[in-house]
Amino acid sequence: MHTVSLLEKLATTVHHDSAIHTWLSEQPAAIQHAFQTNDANALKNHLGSGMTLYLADRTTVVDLSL
Amino acid sequence: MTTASLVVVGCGIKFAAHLTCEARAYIEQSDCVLYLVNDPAMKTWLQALNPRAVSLDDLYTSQPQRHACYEAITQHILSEVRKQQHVCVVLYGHPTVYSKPGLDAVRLALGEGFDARILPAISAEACLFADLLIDPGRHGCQSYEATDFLIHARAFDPASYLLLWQVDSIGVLDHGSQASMPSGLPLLMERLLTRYTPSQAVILYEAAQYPGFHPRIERLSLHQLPQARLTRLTTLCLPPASPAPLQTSVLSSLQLRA
Repeated sequence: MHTVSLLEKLATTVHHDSAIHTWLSEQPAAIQHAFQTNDANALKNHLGSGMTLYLADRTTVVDLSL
Repeated sequence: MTTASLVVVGCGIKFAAHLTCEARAYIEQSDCVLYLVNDPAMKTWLQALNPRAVSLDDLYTSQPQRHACYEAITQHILSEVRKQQHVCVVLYGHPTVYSKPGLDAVRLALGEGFDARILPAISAEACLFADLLIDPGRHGCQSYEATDFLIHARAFDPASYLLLWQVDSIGVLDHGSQASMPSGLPLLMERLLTRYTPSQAVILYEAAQYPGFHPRIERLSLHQLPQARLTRLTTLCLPPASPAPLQTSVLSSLQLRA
């Protein structure tokens, strides 16, 4: 299963019905490790490898006008 | 029937799980989809939802100063609407929370007579309230961007919750720097210690970004903050330091009893 498909499946499956361990066993070791260690950045880096990764996760909303 | 419109939606914080039915419908059915998100999985997913989806990443880094980038993004969105098509813009989190281009674009589009609107989405603050079991109505809640908090000397009430956002990028207004100015955290500590004791409880919070992941919730004392690991996504939450005093004269006027 493609990792993005795995994430979509997890997003639409309630936790007590989730077969996450089975689904993860089909994933690369780096993905499995990211889940085991709760390391979202590792997952993000793995998914973004090979593409120019811009992270629009910070915003400058500060107003410097006097 | 209108031939052109602008709808700005947010994709929430947790991949796919936070997207509303309404937002998804606009993404799937719009003529033009522009997106600015912080996750490669979401980029792939948006492209699958609508093959006409186009990233705004290039504009996001097109200028040294972020304000100039936001202006370029706003103008690009408007130029797509002026082509007489239905445009959907997808932004990370909630589209008006810590996000300037979507808000500016809708205001300008409305000014030009277009049908334009913003749809609500799940913000990091909404995740924080759920994960930290906070009802902001119980003690009140103050919420500031960390740099704004400092440069405007925002008044705050220690008897209420205090949330400080972007504590890892104090004083940073450009793209080049990733972390706070060296003086950022010491200035923040100095300001907080004017109203809190060094033993004040502090929570470092980062919402879960993916289904199957947990939020980062780290509890420490204020004096430990300089040694804490802060990331681009870390929010500082300071719970009420003490109960708010009751105003007996107001109680009396309202005919209420403590």
